[in-house]
Amino acid sequence: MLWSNWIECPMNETTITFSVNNVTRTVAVSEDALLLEILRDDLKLTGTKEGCGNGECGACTVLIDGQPVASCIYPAKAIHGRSVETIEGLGGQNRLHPLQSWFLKLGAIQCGFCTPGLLMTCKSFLDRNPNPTPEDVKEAITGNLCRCTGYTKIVKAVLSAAAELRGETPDAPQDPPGCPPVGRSLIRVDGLPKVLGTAKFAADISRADMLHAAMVVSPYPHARILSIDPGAALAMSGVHSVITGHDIPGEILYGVNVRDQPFLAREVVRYAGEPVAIVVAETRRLARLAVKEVQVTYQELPAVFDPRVAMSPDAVKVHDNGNVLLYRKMRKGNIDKGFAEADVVVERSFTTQSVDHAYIEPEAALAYWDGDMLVVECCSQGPHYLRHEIARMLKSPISRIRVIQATTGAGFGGKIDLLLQHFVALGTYLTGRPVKMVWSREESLRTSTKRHAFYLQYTFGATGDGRLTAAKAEIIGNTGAYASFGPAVLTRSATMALGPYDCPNVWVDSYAVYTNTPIAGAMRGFGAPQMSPCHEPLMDEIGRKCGLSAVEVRRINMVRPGSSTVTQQVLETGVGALETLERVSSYLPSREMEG
Amino acid sequence: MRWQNYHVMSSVPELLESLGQLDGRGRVVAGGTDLIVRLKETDMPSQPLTLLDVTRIDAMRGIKHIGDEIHIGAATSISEISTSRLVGLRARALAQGAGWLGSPQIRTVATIGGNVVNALPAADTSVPLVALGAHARIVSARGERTLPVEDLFRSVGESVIDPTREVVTYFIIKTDAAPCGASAMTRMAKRKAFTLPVLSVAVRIELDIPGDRFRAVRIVAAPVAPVPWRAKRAEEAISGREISIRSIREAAALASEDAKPGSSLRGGAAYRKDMVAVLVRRALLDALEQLDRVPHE
Repeated sequence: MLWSNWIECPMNETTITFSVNNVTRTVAVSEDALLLEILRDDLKLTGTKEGCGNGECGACTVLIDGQPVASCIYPAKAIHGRSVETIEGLGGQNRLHPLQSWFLKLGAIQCGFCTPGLLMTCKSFLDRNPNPTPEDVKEAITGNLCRCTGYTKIVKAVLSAAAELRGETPDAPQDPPGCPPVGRSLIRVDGLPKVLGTAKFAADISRADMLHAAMVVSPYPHARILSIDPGAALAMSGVHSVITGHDIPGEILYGVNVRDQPFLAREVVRYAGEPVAIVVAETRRLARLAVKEVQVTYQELPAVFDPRVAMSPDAVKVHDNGNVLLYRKMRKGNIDKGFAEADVVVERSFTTQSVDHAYIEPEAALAYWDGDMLVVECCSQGPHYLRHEIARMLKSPISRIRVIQATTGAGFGGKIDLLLQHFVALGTYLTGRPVKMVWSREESLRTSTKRHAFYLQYTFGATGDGRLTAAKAEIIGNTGAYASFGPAVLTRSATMALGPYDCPNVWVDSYAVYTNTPIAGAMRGFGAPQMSPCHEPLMDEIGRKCGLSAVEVRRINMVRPGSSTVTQQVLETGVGALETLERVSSYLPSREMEG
Repeated sequence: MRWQNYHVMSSVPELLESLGQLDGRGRVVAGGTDLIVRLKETDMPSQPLTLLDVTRIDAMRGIKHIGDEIHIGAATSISEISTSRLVGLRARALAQGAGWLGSPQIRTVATIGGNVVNALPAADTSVPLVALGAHARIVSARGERTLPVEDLFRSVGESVIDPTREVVTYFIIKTDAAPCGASAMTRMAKRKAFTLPVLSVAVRIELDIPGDRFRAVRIVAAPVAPVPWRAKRAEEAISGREISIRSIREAAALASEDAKPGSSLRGGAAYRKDMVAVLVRRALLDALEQLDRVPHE
């Protein structure tokens, strides 16, 4: 539908009256508004969060007439005459609801983004079921995703709150008097605002006269940009500007390991979801609508998706200087001698998949001028790096750029890159006005970095009594369209190829390879977790062939003081592998359980 | 825009009048947990609809016990159905299905009418409703009619009901007649909660008076066809047979043989086909257990 048609059927405004936290409110709403928009944008009750926009994650949970509801898909007009409870009404600083105080005391909060929704769901649940079992609590919170805590502490906190509400005195964590702070159960310093819903995540921050930005992204994995025509978008009333890579005043490429990634693609796009233009408009919805009106003409190019294919010399080139971004060799001892000494040889190939961090807070950032200082408030795991890149892009002294980390709704490595902070910085630099960008869940999944998918080939040799003599590993990591942390991740994979095991003869080849897939970057464990599903089953297999239990074969081979690693670092102190093994095996009820 | 207008209806006549005036541009909405998500994604549709909210029409809400029937208003929430003692005792398969649907947040607002008219073959209330032989009362400007729920499905996501012209007002379910009648639903999914099924099976059984033979059995599996699918050959084969592991096995095998599932992200066709037998057997055993019957070999 053309924009002009849209104008012909103007949106009706109407008023609704409903109760919010026991206060009657009358609000003018557009006919197609959703409850979450009314709460956050009109009533400025930003304690309720948007995590997915599809009613799937539970971050937007509020209570309607006492029942939990996903406010992100609840039409505002349906709320007329009803009663809504939000996190802001649950408790105050000096009168915390027992759920809030037990979430604090038991550490059931980490990033805090899912916390308001969880608290509201649990409040409704305890109102109906004052005496729940742990299974009841787990069932009650199935609609609230948390990526940080692993839920165990949340379930404990809900059970403790239920006990307190019944008039009992639940056990609180007890620390021996006078013990040092290390190892004690402390209430986290940012806990209180998180249980109150007053912690400000980037999407919760607003400035007067603020504009909103949205991305135009490539639908193709590999294409040449022939033209970008912003005409139809700019013709829309309320659209301020359409920014392309040609508007960037300074450097055009960035990257933490290798500067290979355009701040905004100008000539070529290398993955589906790569940003090519930024629309700046008066509202977030208008910016998103205008995105559909920006006409980008592409010439599709052949693409490569499998890093093993991309390594061959005649493969499609993702970057001009070839697809092998990193080739890391690790050699220790003499691998041929090691296999010659082996009585047992085990060999396997493995693949691991790409993984999204899926933090519940989608990426968000806001930029504005403070005098001659350009300020960016954003979710981030690395504001100093962002500051440096934004200064390069704007050709500005770094002293004129300030990056403030807002409360960040988890990252797991995914928020360490420059993601959208440069888009709002550029928007403010070019328009002079505050500019905010908040990604949708779909945009976050499509454009953000991922865990590397790996292809691995492993061969271990061992003596008949189970001692490793040789370890050979070839590691191919799909680093996607741009380097991000790829070289560092694949280097770490090489150094961690044997996990906690000691072997005198090691041969490791590790490659980070470009393909036309989403960028692989930093994620928890940073290249080491992909190694575990390889070295562990091989250790089991050696154990089985040598008649050793899973514990015994590991006891023989684990690193200890005096062992040397793949990089030939001799370990001296602080080597905890064996102690860990002994402690874990003490929990195994029988030798059969040792495998 | 997502939709042109949103009106909360207070009665069925008011709804029919509005649908008539809007002449195809109005659409019934209940909980909206599927529809609102779709309209939100395709902001600025070519034909903006006016949404007519039926969740406050009293005649379309609530669960009533009338003789040997249960009447459930189409705008009754899934959570009300899943926690209803009456439904749990007398139409147990439906209470089980409702309990699996979505999350607590979704069950608060989603309705049984919306779930059925949305017409996905493995919808958690459609599968048990078809097994229970439920009927739907439908009202339009032309009058009222009653159709078996089984006949409401045309294809994946395509209902016989036209939500721009008519509305399901309530469902009629014959109660599980103890001591001889019982129903059960089994479901297999990749997670325990808040996920769509790899496969669902619902059954209703009726035993003869001494209680050692199956008198009538309905078996429904999904998604194995574009609509909730009845394993009719299996139903016929087991009806009249003695209650035994053997008769149950044979019926389960026939259901599996006749089922023609497709492959999706949630499960492969061959796997689903095999699992039809497993789930039919489990559902029949579960239903028998409700009647304290343990089948012999």
